[in-house]
Amino acid sequence: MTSPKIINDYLPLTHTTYYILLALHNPLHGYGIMQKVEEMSEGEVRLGPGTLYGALSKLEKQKLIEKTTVEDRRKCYVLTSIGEQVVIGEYTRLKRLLVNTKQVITNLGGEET
Amino acid sequence: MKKRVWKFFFVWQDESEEAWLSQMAEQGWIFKHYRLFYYVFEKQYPNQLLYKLDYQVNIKDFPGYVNLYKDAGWEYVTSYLGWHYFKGHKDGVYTEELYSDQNSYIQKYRRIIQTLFLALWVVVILNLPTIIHPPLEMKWILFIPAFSVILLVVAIIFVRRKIMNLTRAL
Repeated sequence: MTSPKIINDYLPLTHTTYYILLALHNPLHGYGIMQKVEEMSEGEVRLGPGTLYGALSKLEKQKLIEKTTVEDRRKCYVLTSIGEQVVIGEYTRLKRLLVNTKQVITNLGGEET
Repeated sequence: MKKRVWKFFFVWQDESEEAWLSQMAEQGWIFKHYRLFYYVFEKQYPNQLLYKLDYQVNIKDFPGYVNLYKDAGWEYVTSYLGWHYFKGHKDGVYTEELYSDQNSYIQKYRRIIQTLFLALWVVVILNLPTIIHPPLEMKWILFIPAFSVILLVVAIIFVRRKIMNLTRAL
């Protein structure tokens, strides 16, 4: 288990990075990630290849993801254990944000409960 | 049929270069490769093509890089000094831009700035002996490094400005 302090150094994640990490809980190659992210975000996020290439290089260097198998000459990536903890850390952070804003949103006449 | 065109774009004019390559394709001139200010085109049917210039140095796995772009609908054309040219059809590309968020697009210009700074230090260091002790009867020789330095500094300023405009839009 990596110490929470180290995990917090990676947070907060950008929208793009969070989706890429979420997609990589199963091994996927580049194009697979693009499709998975589009599906998860219901079409909201379409990753450009330049954006994805840069993100993959960076995340691999940070050891949040690693290469696994090669599928049709395409390298697949998957989350490392640090990567998994970073996803959990970001989820916890986002959840706290939601809980903390809930009362305000209700008072503002937004979503009920 | 082939055609060579001499044309000069500054390092910060990559978007104008992309637009110009698209215009050429509309007239049936399909871009093939680039070498120091000249572009080679091949005559084909006029085509509506998008061109994009990526900037990447130290690509560890070049086929993997090209493959990723290909999967996203971008066909690799050629490379020159870290610049990689891609073309695609409007309906065939996954996204119309190589960079789908502002942050990663800014990173492209940050990499360009790094290279420009490196070039600047190389020019200065290599010319240090001439700058410190210019040969008395050949003072004009200082114009060469001076010109390169000015060009690089101007380039850095312009690319910086581009980054600042992109950051402001964030």
